[in-house]
Amino acid sequence: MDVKVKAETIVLPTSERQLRACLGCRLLKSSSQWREPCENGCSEENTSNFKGMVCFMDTSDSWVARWQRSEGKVRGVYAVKVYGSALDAQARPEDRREDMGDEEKDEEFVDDVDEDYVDR
Amino acid sequence: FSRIPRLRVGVRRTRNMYSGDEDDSNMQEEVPEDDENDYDGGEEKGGEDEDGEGEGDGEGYENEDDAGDVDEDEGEETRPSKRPKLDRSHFFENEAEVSGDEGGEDEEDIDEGEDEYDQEFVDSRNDDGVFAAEAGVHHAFQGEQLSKEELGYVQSLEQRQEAYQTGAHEAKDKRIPGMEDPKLFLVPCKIGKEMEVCLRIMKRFAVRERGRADKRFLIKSAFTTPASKGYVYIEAYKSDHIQMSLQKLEGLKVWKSSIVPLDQMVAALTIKETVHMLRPKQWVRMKQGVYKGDLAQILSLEDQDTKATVRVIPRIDFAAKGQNRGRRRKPQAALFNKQEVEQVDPGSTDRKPDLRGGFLTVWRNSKFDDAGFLIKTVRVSTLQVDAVNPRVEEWERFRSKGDDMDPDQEGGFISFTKKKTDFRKGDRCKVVSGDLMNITGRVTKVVGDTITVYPELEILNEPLDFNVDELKKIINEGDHVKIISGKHKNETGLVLAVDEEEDILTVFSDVSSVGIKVYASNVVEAAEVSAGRDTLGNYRLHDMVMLGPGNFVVIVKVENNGFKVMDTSGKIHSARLQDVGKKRFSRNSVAYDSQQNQVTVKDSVNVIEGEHQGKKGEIKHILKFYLFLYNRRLTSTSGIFVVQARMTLLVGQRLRRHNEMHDQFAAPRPRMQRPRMVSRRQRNSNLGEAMFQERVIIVRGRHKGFTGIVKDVMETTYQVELDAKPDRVTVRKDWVKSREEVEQSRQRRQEVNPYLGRETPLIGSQTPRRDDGGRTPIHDSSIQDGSMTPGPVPSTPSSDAFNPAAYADDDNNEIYTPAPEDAQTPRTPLTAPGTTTTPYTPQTNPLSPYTGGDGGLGEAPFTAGPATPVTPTPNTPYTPGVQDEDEQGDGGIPNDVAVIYNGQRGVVRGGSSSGYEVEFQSGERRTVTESKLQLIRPSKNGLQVKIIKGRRRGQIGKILSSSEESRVIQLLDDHEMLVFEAAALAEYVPA
Repeated sequence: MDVKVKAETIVLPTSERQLRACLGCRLLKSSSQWREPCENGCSEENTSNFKGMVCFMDTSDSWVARWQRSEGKVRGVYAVKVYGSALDAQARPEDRREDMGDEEKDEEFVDDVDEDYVDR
Repeated sequence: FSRIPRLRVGVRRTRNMYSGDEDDSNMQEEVPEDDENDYDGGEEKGGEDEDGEGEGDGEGYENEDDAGDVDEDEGEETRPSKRPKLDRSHFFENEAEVSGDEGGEDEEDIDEGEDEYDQEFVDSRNDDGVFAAEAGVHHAFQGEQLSKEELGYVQSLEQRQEAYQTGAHEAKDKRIPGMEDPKLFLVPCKIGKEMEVCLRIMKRFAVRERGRADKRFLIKSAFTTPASKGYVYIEAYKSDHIQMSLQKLEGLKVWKSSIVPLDQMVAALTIKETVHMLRPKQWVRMKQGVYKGDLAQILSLEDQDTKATVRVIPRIDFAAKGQNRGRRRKPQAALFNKQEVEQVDPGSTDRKPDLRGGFLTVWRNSKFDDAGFLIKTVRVSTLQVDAVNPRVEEWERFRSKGDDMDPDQEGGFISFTKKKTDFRKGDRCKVVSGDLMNITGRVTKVVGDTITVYPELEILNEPLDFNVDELKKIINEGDHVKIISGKHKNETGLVLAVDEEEDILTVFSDVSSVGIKVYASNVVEAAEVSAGRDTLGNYRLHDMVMLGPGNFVVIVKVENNGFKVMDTSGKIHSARLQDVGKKRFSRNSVAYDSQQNQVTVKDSVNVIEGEHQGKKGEIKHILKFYLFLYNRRLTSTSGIFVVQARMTLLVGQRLRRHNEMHDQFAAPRPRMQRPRMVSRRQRNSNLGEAMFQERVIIVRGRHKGFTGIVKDVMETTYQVELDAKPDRVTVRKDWVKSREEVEQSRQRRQEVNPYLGRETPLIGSQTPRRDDGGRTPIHDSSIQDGSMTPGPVPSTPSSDAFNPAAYADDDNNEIYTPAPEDAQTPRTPLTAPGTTTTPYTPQTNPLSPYTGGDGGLGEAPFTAGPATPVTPTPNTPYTPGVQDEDEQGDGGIPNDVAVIYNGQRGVVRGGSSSGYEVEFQSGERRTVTESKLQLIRPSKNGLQVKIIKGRRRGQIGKILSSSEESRVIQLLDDHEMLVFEAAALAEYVPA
């Protein structure tokens, strides 16, 4: 999706229940909405294993968005932390890593995401 | 990118101002031409968008953003030559930060048509003049040219670009919030509604976004984390923006917002990993449904750890098959028994393979394992993971049937509960892991989790450090311990049994006198004996409290977060602290006993019929016609039991009543006619007769030694007008003695041998005095004949005065009768020198528990006399822990008991009319009179003792623990454990 269109888009969960978070960008949508792909154009995997909630009303001029690496994403409701997401991989507790497989790979992936964003 | 933060607008205008005000030409010079070229297409539009509405249509943004991007790229390449100048001004860097990513964009703005901006500036001053002025000041200070300021932005842009490219680490630095970022505000909201509020904010945002421009949101984001319970964070440049955007939003208290300091912003957005990750075999508690509160064990985790398969003891409602839903009770937890179910309902069960291996029985869509546990897959959020603290009983239910529980689980159950042993200096411990396994030692130092142990090994005589986890406490049978956590916290007791394997101790509680099971890690060795908890909140043990409207109950046990209470039917209920209502005081309540005697609180009554017949108690509370009585013997309910008033008889009233009824009904008792007041007055007058206007000496307390005259008689105190001061003081009755009494005791103390007191004529001469001073009219009128006391010869008038405790107490009360022998001792010689009621008294120091050591022989009972009828409590103060079972007047010292004679230790080996045959250590045997023998009061644990009083007289036991006045002993023959007063035991020396 184009950057500008993204910046214009607002994604609202249609229901307050059964929210699921995108593993790629933490976007929260209700489970029925996940029949559609993620508006940020990232992976279509999603999970209910998330914590916290951020509502972005401006993803470009927001420290929260910067901290969450969500600059330039569509405006909408996001999770603060998504378990199993590469974005939050670094914050995962030690014992979880074993299940994750190769640690290094995870971290590399994080960097990729950043650069992706910058390039865009 | 497309949003225009106000700050940025301001900054841009600042620069416009410079260009206008100060040096137009300079500006022109510095601005590189190529930039202008870049913006051919977009500049007009972009500029308009920004300065005009702030937000424009999609097209406008596109242009602008494109322009910005291009500019960013170029910044690096096209202007390196101007960089050196930047270093001069720190301010630039700051400014650069302000502009942030948008530096390039700003640049572009300046590059765009100057004229337009010059025009604009005039207007802009009004709304954003602050920025302009501020920047202007700086500018003046620096003495820099406008263009250099621009360079600052360029540089910042470059830095930012570099940062992104040099990797995540540096990028993270850039993520840290700065002064130029929007601020975080903490806004309270309804607890538990944080997410709801966030979604509501988002909805309002979406609506406003489509509406009027001036209504649009200026806030940047809103968020909540699990840690921000009751709060929502809002990101905005100004709190005004929050007010504007979010006022009157349901559930949000905008007016209470506060700013989050810069250094706490990251923490606010960080979710701490507080949940210990669930692992299989971990213990949890169910939070929902019929299993709410039940202990469960995790078998496996599914769906990214959001679901867990647990096993739990099933609660199957066999009877109600889904019907009668309304009034369903929680079914009993019991293991599933396949055979039984098959019998009732053949073919209803099915067997299916389990994912974890093995087979499960399926019945009515529920799965059960072979041990009978229900296997259930639930969401992790419905499990309580923290503070599970399985109780021993619970866990044992799992263990008893859960034979499939891995025996190789390291540390068994304890390790899962993560119970950290609380080591204290001096504890004995054992190393349970590592090279030094099984070494025992004593803790010499505790620093955090590091325990320094001095090993009990000859070859290792230096202290070693261990981690808490490497050590295990050693508690042995017979140790006296204090429980330091859990339900029985702060109780103390004696360890009866140790289950080495599981570290579970059976402790005989000093408080409840029952065996309780606790983990070894939860106890410490302690010599102290706890009285148990007796207050919680504003409530005390034995308070009468309201539990529901009009329902009054008496607290019989205080627990850590609630009470056990007794209602008027004698049933015991549990009550949580928050359910307990106001206290009720029975001070002014009265009731009437079976003989229509008025009874009030603190009176002692005998129960003459019903379930509690034969018991005696002190009235603690009166509720309508129910009496809550207190009798120390009833340990299970902390001494409280409840009877109807008509089933009781006021102590000391029995005989008198009958006499009166038949002989003296012509003189009706005033107390019956006007209950409260009259009785009070009567009491006063009764007592007053004894001491009123009497000259007394105060023998204890602050005014000890003062003489005075009793001017008023209260229930338990006298008002004494002191001779030395023009003052009236209130003195406890037992702290006051008449002058004569003092004289007497002084004389008696001068006796060569107090035990031979029976021979001194002086004592005889005291008797009349005692009649006057010690005896109270009540005695005269009601229990004149003293038939209430078992031992003494009834006809002696003085006997009453001398043993108030005896009739204050009950004949039937075996244990708590306050050692009547002791009280009677001084008197006995006067009345019946030959009676057998005094066998032990010469040995027991008659002063000890009763007199508080303030006087001579028998003073305490003497002075207590007057107080007794009014306050039937004196048996309490006077008999601390006395548990004399002796009412049968058993005489003499039994054989094989250690005694002291003339400082020499000996053993009684026989008795005759002339005395006791005592065998001394030398082997010599002598016959000694009882009065010259002193019994040895054993207190050492493990010592063998003979019971010398009560109905168990003659039995032999072993001391398990001892306190000042009582001993816990275990009988040798039937291993029963009993509590005795110290005086009832003597050291046993087998022949």
